[in-house]
Amino acid sequence: MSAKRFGFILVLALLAAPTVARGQEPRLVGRIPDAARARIDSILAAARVRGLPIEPLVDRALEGSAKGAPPAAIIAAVTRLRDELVVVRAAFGETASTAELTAGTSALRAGASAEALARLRKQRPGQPLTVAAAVMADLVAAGVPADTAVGAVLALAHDADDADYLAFRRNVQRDIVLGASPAAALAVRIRFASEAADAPSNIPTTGQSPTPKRKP
Amino acid sequence: MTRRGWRVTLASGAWLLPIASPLVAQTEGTLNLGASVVEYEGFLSSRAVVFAPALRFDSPRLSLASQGSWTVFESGRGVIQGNAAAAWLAGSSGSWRLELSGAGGAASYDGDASGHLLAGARLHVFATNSGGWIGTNVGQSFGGPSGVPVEAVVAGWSVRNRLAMVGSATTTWQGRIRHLDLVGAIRWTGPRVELEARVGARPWAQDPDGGRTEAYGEITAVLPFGRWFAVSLGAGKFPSDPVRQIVGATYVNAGFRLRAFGRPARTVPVHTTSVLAGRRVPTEESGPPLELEGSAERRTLRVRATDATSVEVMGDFTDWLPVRLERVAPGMWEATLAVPAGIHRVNLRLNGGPWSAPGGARVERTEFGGVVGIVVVP
Repeated sequence: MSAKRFGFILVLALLAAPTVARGQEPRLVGRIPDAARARIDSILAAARVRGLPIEPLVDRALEGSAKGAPPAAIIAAVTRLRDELVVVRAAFGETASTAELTAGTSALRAGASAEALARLRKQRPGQPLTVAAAVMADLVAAGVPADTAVGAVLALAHDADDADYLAFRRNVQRDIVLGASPAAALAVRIRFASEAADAPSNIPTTGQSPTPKRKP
Repeated sequence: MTRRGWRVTLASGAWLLPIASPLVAQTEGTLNLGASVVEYEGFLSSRAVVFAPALRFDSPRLSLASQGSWTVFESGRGVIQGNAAAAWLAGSSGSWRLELSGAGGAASYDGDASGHLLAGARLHVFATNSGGWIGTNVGQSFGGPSGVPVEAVVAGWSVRNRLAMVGSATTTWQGRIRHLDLVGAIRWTGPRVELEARVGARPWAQDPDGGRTEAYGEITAVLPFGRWFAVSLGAGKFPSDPVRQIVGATYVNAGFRLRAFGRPARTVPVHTTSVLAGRRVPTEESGPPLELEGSAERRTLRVRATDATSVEVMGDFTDWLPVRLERVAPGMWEATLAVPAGIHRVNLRLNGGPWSAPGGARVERTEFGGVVGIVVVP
């Protein structure tokens, strides 16, 4: 390394030193009120120690700031997300990517259980979970009962790739838009998917035999 | 315009001109009552009753038509709709004649509203007993698929004694929805009955939500009894129409028509194939859809918002800083940003208003008092 280049890096390091030395997240400086930033920085520091990704936490803080949320609300949101990341990482494993963990928190928030997420990981060994978890959350948000949505995603877990999951979600949402009940739409689409895969469906339903469509 | 209105325009456009030209201005008011069994795509079969008053005015140069309808299904839910159309014919220039038209309609089903406005132009060519036209319709739909609807039509017709035939090819574009319809219709007018049959095919269809090719057809019979009363019977299948937000259906119906005033009952049959409005109505929490194209490093974000004076987006990929989209065409807003694959939290803001979720995205309530859209970028 040349002396000139070394000097340049040294200058950068010295410039960054004040923030790093105090354990501050540079992206939050000037965006989050000081009182909240100190607390958030401590949450981030603890998250780093536990090996959690801090990008989603920083993003959540920035989102709160951009929307004019009070400091207490921002701290509460970051804390809640941190807790959710802990749960999802336990379900998805230490090697889960940031995107997978984020999708998992979304599914968790939508109503999926940690146990369901762990089953998803188990049924898709070595495959990405981001889209599967996102679809799980989308289905619940579309009105599908949580246990039914989880069952559907798990039923596809062995054979479906991300494109299959996205197509499945699109078809269910379309059926719902056309008037089918969410549970019925899901049941019909999962049956089609199961038939296509020549495999029996093991979708739990909400206890009633769903009709495929409803009357207008 | 409803499916019915569309059908009337398509089918009678050819014979409207030879019929209308020798007539003096006439006004007709009718009341249609009917019952049917109808199965819309995505729904179970249902019985329905329809009440549909209509008013029509024809002169050699101008035709005006309006219709309202109230359809009640056995579930108790109903569709209320109103439609109006106008067509003006320019003077002849040799065998050629220009027609300008406008149509609009609105419908409400189960609390969801939709509507459309269309302007059209046709260039007709006439021979003694036959003719044809090319034309286009452009307009706007509300409460349904995004995008400016455009239809291009080429058609030909022929009249032989009691028999009239028309064939048409219509290409429709609306956003990412595109399809081609080929339709042939025949009408026979006898002394005691009038029969109309129509067959069609949609041999090409593109729709990100599942457009499909299909064949369809309908047959109707109208039996007039005196000047004031006619009975109609019909059955068939018609395809979905994204421009007018009509859900495709299969139906059987029967009804009668009472003529309130005007000339003897026209031969347009009573139908209950009324609109089921699209249910993609934006709410106060979701704005127009956000379309994304391109690679992770350089992705085009596109929003179609005809009434907007400014459009902004912010999300995790903008570090939660608002980014203003550029107006690249009327109603079309774009920005190019780096958006990696994955799950993103996104908000849109129109005209400096509240931040909303993009249409079609999962809406999540935040701890910050509003909503955010969750978008999966494959």
